[in-house]
Amino acid sequence: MLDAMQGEKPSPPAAPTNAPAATDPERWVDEHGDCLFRFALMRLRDPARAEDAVQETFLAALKGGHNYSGRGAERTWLIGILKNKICDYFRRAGREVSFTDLEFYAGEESEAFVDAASNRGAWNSLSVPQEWSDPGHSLDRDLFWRAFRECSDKLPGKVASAFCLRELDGIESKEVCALLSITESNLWVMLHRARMALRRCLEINWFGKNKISP
Amino acid sequence: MNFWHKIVQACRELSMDCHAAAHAQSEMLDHPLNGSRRAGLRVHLLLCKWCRRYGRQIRFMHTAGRRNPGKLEEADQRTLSETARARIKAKLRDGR
Repeated sequence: MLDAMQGEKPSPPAAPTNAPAATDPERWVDEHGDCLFRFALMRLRDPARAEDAVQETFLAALKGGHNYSGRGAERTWLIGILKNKICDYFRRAGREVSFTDLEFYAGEESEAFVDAASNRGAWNSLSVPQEWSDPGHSLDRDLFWRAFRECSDKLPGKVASAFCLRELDGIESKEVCALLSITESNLWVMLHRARMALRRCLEINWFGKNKISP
Repeated sequence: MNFWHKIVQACRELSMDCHAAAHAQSEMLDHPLNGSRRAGLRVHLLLCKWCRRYGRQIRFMHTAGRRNPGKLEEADQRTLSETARARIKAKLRDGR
């Protein structure tokens, strides 16, 4: 019985003949270079630095010498290496927070709320969050992600880095603070303002427009 | 002043204002709030539909990016420059 069942088991798939050579670094550059570059550029905000991070990633991958048959698995693996390279960069470089990073959106934040004694700290009528129609549906639209990226590109250097590490890569707050050499209360203020700015930007550039022409 | 009026008044006093609630709802995504802030926020959210909406929207953004890896890169038109591409390929040939 057992033998019969084993007999029916499909034999392990042979490596497809048209599979790309296991480690073909130059093919990596053509297939994954742009994706890795965009990933790095969003977090490092500087094309030269992003190029360096991509180069280091490929060199480390070459040394690591893993084999992947699927393109998706290969990209996930490369992105994993790139994330570490980006963290290394922040560890080396992250020693100062500029005035613009700390003051970013401070004015807009206080303007968003009324400060009158009668209506202390309530939303200003112009800044009240509008209803977003079916936000889940937006996740399938390329233009939504383009708006998301363009809005997050408007955040200043360190705020953008903090936002990406926390909101996109899901790194724990304490680790983000260590990477960027900032205190937790600084991080919370930066993230709060970044979320506020991004929310407003998406509302104006995506959800507001989308309502008119679905 | 009737009974319900008094209850609403008491809630208003316990409640945060919208400004503090916006900050607290953001912080909640990063760490647990202490008891009194949590209570103040909860009471405020009972009374304020704008802040409930704000919270929904920042939570949507919080999960959108994490749960959809690769989407931002797909929607990006920027590319590695030809010189960088050539330089990286050369490095890789040397490193092999």
